[in-house]
Amino acid sequence: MSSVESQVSRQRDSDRKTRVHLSLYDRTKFILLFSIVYLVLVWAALADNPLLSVGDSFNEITRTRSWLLILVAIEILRQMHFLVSELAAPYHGIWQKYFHAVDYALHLFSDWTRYRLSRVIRSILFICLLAVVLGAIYKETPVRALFLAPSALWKTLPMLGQLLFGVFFVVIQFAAMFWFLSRGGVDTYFPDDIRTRFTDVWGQDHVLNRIRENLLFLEKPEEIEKHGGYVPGGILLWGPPGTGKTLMAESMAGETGKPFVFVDPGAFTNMFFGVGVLKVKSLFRKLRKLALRYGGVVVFFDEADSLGNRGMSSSGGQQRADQSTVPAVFGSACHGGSYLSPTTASILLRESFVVGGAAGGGMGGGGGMGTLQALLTELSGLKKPRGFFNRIVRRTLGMRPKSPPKYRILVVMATNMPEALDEALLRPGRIDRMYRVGYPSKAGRVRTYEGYLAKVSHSLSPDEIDKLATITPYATGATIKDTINEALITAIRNGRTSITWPDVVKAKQLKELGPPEDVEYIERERHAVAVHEACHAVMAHRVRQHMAIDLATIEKGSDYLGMVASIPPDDQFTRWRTEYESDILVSLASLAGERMFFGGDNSSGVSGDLESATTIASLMEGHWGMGSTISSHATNRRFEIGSPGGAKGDSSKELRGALGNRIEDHLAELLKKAEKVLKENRSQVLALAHALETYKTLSGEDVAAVIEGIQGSIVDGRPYKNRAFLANIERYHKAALVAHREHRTPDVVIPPISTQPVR
Amino acid sequence: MRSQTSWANSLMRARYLSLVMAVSVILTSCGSPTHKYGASKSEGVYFTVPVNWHEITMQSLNSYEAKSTGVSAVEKLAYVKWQEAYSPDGKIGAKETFSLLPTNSPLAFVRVRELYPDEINAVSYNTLRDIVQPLTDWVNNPTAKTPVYNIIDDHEIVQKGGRGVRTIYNFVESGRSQTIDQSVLMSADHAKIYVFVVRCTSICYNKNIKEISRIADSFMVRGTK
Repeated sequence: MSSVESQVSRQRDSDRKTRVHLSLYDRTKFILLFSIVYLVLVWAALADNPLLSVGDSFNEITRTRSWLLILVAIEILRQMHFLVSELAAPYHGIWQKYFHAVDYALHLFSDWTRYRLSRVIRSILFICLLAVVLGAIYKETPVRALFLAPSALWKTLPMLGQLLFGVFFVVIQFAAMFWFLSRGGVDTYFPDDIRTRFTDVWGQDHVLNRIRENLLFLEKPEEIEKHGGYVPGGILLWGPPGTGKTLMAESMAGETGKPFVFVDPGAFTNMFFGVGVLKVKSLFRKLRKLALRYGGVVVFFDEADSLGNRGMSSSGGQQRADQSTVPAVFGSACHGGSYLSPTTASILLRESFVVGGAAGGGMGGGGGMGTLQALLTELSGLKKPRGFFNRIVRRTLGMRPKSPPKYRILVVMATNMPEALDEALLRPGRIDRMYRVGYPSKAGRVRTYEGYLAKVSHSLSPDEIDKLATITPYATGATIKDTINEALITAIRNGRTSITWPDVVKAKQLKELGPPEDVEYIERERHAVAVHEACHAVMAHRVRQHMAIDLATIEKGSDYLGMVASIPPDDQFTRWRTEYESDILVSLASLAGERMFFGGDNSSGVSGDLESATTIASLMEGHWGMGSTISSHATNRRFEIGSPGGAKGDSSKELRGALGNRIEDHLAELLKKAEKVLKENRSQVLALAHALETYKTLSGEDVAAVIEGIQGSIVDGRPYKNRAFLANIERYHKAALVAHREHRTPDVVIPPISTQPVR
Repeated sequence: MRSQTSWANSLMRARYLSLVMAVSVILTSCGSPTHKYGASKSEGVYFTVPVNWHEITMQSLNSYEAKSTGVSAVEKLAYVKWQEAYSPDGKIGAKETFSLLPTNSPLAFVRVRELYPDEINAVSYNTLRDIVQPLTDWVNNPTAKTPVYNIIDDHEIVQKGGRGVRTIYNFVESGRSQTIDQSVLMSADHAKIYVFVVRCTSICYNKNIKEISRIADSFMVRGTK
């Protein structure tokens, strides 16, 4: 047997027949301690009386400090007891039995009684010790000394007072500093302080209606409370910036008859640990007071994302999946998730979290340092009784403290980063309702334009306002206000005080494109850019029905030479294969057009167009079921299956090629179609190119007018019906083509717009 | 084998223990003190007397003084910070201490008192010498009433707490010769005087000269801390 195997485990103390042997130190440590005390006392006596001999000093200490000897004797007895216990098992056994009996007897009392007993014994021991010490100090009997002590305490009161003042002084400095730091960032408005009303918020009627409901419950809480419900306590308004969240809150403040507390986004950002918590506590103390006094209160946290997220600080990244990671089926217009079984839906959702989990940038938690936690607790913490009288005095008199009254506090938060909020903040009970404040509807935009136009002088007809709302689909209250203001500036610059339609269109273009760079193209390049854009515009006009041209321009911007911008004419939520195909056609029109008009040559300017065309074609083929296969490429890639070939039973072998080949085939097919369309519209393309060269920028309406040869809002398209003028334009194009080939100025100058009547 | 080792260990431990116990017993039981120590720690005054001398306490001295003399004595008593007396004869008490009649047994008396207001500007070594008997007058202006006296020793003493003179002399009064060994010092701040007198009949003094000298030599003034 090896030494390892032969080892037996150490005996349990309860299994031993004798006591565990003590080390020498443990045996002697108390005697050593007493000896040291004895020597110290001797030394002190020697120091006290210079005449005292060492022997006499020992004698005196022995005589006067006999308690030390008693302690030594007790310690010796104890050590002898231990020694015998270590050597004699029967003796040890007797004591073990005795201790068991004592333990048993002690455990007959309840734990609480034993605790109280031990507390009483401890107190008595302390008092005895105190009496002995005081007796030694006062040179009196211990009992008498105990009664002398209070008078001594009384005498030292002034000094204790000074000390206490010192402590108080230090504490008050901190308290005052924290008090000052915890001020500010919170403004209270009382009814009638704010003139904004719900009628001032335009285009968000669906949200307003729900908010109105919330306010109604706040004003008349009995309506829901008497039926056993409770007033919804929290609203989150989220959505893109500028959509009127803050305005909505302001109108709530104006509309409600309750005080409105506005919490500054920076209120909880602070330097010291604990100030944020203090702020939250003082804020809610204020809210409770206001709620009791006025029967309710509305508190608004603007930019609530500044409160931070507890998960962020630890990992540095976002913990919750944001909107972008939700699979397309849930975000798509027909809401593909709704007809799936819950299991399938959850699998899809989980997959998206696995893949998209790393998405999202790290955002610093603004509040931090317990602020958010304090807020969470205040929003829905223990409904504990408050107040000194309520808690202490009532309880002392044997009454139960009153439960707190119903504080009717409506918490409204606004953010454009809902994913940055803590999950716990958004749970029902804290934030009961979440409203998305999206881009305003068309009706809302019309209402907003009308509202802002009403404040200025203008000559826009209702139709024009409607059109304006149509061509600005993503306009928010803020951008509309800005556009109207810009239009007014344009009008004033032109010496007018009233806004006209062209002013608005100019303002809109200025806002969307930014100020032009004022770069003059050389003639042949200007013509090339104009032809490029004209191809896009004509193709869009001819084949694309789901988007309307917003504007076409050849004025150079910061990152483009020219552009054709489109907008959806109406709020449409589904997209179709034909629409995507027409999108690709519009993109490919530039390549097809350049090749057609410049004798097979084409510029690098088509790169962006090809990128978007390829992207859409790829998505059609791999994601949207608009190609020759059915399975989703996204899913295939996630499970590393590999993409399938063409559809089954497809006779053409080429179609069963790789995904890339199929996309290329599709694009080539569409390019041919684009060429065909452009060939049919050659004169329109050149006409539009001419108009672009002449006017630089055309609105969507004017583009249509030039193509159709009718009167537009600004540009008259009728001259472009004139054959002779078109022939001039064709001649100019030929000259430009030659100039392009030979890198020189065209021989023919751009023909001026013909004023001849239409034949 | 194992049990033997543990037995040996226990035996060794037992030896250690008994050693410690023996040491502590020796430390705590080595007899009675060799001297009695008269000391006032607050005044910083120390002396020793043989262990068989008994103490005449400050309390008894004070009460005797207050009782036996007039009102001015009571007032003067307030100036006394500490006084004590020792004598081997148990019959000697406060009365004998203050009577200045020669005693058959030695008597040591110590007193610390503050100077009276009229003394503060007048104290000299002569004043200190005259604390018990007007020695200066005896020497300088002897009259018919001046007793027979003999100054055995007179020298200056300097200590940490003050300085003064030690005088040993004998004189005859009522036909009995008495020897007095007195050390009188004044504190460094001229606020207190320290008086230490050891006296008895000259016969007694001569018989106990060694002991009395040791007692008088032991007088030590450290002064108030």
